[in-house]
Amino acid sequence: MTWQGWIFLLAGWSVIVLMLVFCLYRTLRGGAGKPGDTPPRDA
Amino acid sequence: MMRERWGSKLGVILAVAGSAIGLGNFLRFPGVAAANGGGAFLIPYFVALLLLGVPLMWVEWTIGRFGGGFGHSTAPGAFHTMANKNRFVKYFGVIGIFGPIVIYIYYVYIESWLLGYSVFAATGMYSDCTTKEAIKGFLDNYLGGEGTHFGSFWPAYGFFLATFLANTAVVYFGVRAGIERVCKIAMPALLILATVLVVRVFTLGTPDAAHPENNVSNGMGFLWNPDWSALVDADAWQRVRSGTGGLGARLNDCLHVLKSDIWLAAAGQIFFTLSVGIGAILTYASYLRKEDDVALAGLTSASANTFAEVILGGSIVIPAAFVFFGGAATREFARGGIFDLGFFAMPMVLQHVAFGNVFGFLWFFLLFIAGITSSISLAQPAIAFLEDEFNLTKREAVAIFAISTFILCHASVFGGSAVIGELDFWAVNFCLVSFALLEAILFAWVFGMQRAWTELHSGSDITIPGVYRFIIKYVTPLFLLAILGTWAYQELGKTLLMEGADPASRSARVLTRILLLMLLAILCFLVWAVWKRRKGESAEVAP
Repeated sequence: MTWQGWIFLLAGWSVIVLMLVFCLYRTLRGGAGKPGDTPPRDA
Repeated sequence: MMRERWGSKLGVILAVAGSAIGLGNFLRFPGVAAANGGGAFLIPYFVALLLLGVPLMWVEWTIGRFGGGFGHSTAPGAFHTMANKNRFVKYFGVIGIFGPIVIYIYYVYIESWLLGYSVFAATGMYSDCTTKEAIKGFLDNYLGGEGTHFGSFWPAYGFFLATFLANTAVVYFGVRAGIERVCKIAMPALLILATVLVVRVFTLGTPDAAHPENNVSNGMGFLWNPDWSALVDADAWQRVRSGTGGLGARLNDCLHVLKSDIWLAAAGQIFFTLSVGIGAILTYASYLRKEDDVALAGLTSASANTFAEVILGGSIVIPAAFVFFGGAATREFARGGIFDLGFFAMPMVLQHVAFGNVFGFLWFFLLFIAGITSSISLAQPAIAFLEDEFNLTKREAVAIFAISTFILCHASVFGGSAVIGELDFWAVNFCLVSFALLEAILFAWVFGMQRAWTELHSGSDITIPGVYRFIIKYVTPLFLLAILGTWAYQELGKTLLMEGADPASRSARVLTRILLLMLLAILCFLVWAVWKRRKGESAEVAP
């Protein structure tokens, strides 16, 4: 693999992993003032 | 009747990710990327993700949750409510039920091949097939019933029955006890299976000492090394830089610096991989409450799908094929499409490694899991339509859906590749893009961007950048129009006239089209009947 290939691989993978980690972190932590991965909030 | 709800936020995200992550993630993406500039393909891919995929995710999640608030889990009702009860718009929503049914009736059959192949891999049934012709003959034998491996068609039919029953059982148990519970197990399992296969591929080394260039690093390079000529027209770029020619010629050069093929290929890949424009995500989102987030959930499911596609899907089949067959043969497999890569290349590769039976089983079972989490999402819109609009119980709705689709599936089972190709063409190329375009226009232009933006942010866990108001209103619909226009220009005429199709398959294709038109007419009639009855009921109640 060329050095350009490595750059694309590392950059692409990094962006995707960071995006997924950010999303999962916010999802599991919950929004501001809202509970995270919780059961239904109404009856 | 008590409305069904998701059990948890993570549950609905896993269900939507399960719907999106399908065979295309592991088989279509590597082939398309390798054929369109490798690493350079990632540039238009990410641009399309941000301008087309993620906005459409948000649009579909928001329309679904909005419709669910009025007791509508499918597009006809949701569209009707969003368009201020316009009398025609609900008929456009029929595509959101028609498309999933059409895909379902061939997807379940292909999914059953994967279940069958996972058993054949584990038992070593195709271990004597060492060439592409032999492994192709094995599949033909499995489907046709004549040959050395299978004496009849019954094994294929048996696996189809098992797969159909598995899908029916999941949707029978409902959104929370069926779909959510299955996805909470299936998605982590898929991640583990894919990771095991990636690790195995990365440790393949250089099996052929005579060809040391056929190694994993070069295999990854086959997918990732950027080919700038696929992205940029070097001659046009040179002319722009030198500033030669008149104003018209220079403007023309500027427009042709970026090649359109790769951009359309990337847009198509993003569009099809995220499962937007089918109607399944709309139905899933309808089981949310009004105060539940859709912005972060939509982004999370898109991210999970991209992770499965680029990192996992891009690291299995192409590098594995490259290590054993070299660049030229891998290019041939990639050109052959998802069946060549999935059913021919990988089984041949895995026969060369230790515990090949086990890894073969893992490969096909991984694809089966990816398939079933997608197919259950395809079943849900029709079932939800029957429940919501006809006030049927879950049991009644599932029974009607199962009996109808079981009969329809036989068109795929006995019709062969001509019927499957015809169903796939109309459902995927026409219904998906048209439905997504309708959703985008309805959301931004009919419902109104201000209301749509407020609705999207209702209960949101993240704040979406304001630039997405512009993107959702202008860029996404234009992107979709470009895809639809290119498809119509390049494919529609040829397909309508069946140019290049095997003459023997023409009658099957015509019958399939008649079947599709009848199905569409029945669904339109059902929508008409529901609203007519509802109108009559309101007239009776009114003083």
